[in-house]
Amino acid sequence: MKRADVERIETEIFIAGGGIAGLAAAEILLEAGKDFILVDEYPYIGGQYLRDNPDYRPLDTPTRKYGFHLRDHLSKADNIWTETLVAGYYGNGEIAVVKKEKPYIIKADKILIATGAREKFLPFPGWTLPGVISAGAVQALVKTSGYLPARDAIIAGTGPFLLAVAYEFEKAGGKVIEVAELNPIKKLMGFTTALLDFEKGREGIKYLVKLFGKLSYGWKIVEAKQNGEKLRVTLEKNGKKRELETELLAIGHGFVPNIEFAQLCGCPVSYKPELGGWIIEVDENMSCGKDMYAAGEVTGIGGARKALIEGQLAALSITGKEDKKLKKKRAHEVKFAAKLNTVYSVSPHLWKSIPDNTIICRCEDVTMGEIRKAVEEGFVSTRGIKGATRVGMGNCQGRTCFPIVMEFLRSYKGVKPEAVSIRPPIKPVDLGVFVDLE
Amino acid sequence: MSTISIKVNGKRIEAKEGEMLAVALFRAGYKKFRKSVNGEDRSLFCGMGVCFECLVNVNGKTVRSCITPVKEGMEVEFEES
Repeated sequence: MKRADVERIETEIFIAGGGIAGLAAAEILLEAGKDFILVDEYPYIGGQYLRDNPDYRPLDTPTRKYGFHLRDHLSKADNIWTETLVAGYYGNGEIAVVKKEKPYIIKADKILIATGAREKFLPFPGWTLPGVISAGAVQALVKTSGYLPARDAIIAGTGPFLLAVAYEFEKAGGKVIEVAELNPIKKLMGFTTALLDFEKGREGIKYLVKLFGKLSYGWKIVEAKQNGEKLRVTLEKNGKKRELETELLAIGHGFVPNIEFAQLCGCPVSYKPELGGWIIEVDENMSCGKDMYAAGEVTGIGGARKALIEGQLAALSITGKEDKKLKKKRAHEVKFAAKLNTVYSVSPHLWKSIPDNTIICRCEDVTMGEIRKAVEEGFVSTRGIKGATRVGMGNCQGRTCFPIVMEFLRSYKGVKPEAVSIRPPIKPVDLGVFVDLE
Repeated sequence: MSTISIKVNGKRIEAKEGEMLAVALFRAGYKKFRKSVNGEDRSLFCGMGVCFECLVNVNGKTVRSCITPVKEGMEVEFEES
């Protein structure tokens, strides 16, 4: 047994993530004649926003059109590495990546972190059943693969993203039974006029028209149970309960930034509920440390247009240029995002009242009851709660459960847990990649 | 996408080359990919490589089927209920 051969490559700029932020930056760097390597974990670039297959492009806003142009233009470049996992950062500009099971060390002068976001969930008993999947997964199945995962669906949680998913599910031939928005209409009303000013808002109105009559507000999912081939879903509003049957329950309660790689790179983090939770702090040049830049959802949940602008701003800073107008546009997007995220947030009492029999850590089957008991015994720090319950210690490394645990801990008065500490590899890597077993 | 055949728990299924393995499994009627620590059935959940619920074994290696493209010669194994 010996160490596997690791190829070393040097480049000017390393970009982590090939979503719209990473691609927008890559385009500018390419034009400026810069040497860079962009890596993405998926088999294709485009991230979540641009994952449609070429035959499926239902709504083309200017951001989407430009995004697809970027994707098409850049997808053949040989300095764009797909199926490549960022495993770690070891200081001195050295990043460990694994490309199709082969390890590399990439040494870069500058690093741009555009690692995007993942979905967040308010769990309930039954959310681990095979018929319950994330709203994002439904969108991925329909858009990327043209596969309709069920004939009918309830789409529940909070946020305008649910409307987009419902729209796409119907467009692909499925029947949306109901879109159950957790937040009451009163909370959302004050926001609707602001929507008209924004591209995203105008997109939202198209969804509302299509889904008219299927939207409900203020309903929380109490539980989901298997009932033969179907799911029986219980919803509750102001103490009133009702049951619905569906093949599929798609859920989503917002997004959280993927900050793990940035944390390893030593970039500053802060907790900003209005921007999705733990975010990477950047200045107006998208800088987050010496030779470190971040762009897109990782600096705060704000959607594709914000990500596009931030990718461009980061690349401009890297090439020593400035665009004041673009900076203003970014500020506008961030402001809008903070409002949107606040309106579509989950109230602290809902995190606090998750029933004890709910699985929180799906990898280790740790329940709310176990976590609540540990918290009441005094394990209120991030490290403490992990050690006491094994929550977040499975394959996903806490990516799904820890945002939930974080909200739960913060629902206790005076409890302000730190961000989860990160060690390489930031996602599981086969030991065989690093060790030659011959 | 050209149609190829892959092996799933010893049986041959048809799949589109390059399509995500999870989708190929869904199309072939497999809806549960994994048993949890407590023995519950699990399936694809996040669909974007985050949650690790759709883990299956491909030619001896554990992969996330939602972000693994189907390739010729794949032998896929997982615990069926």
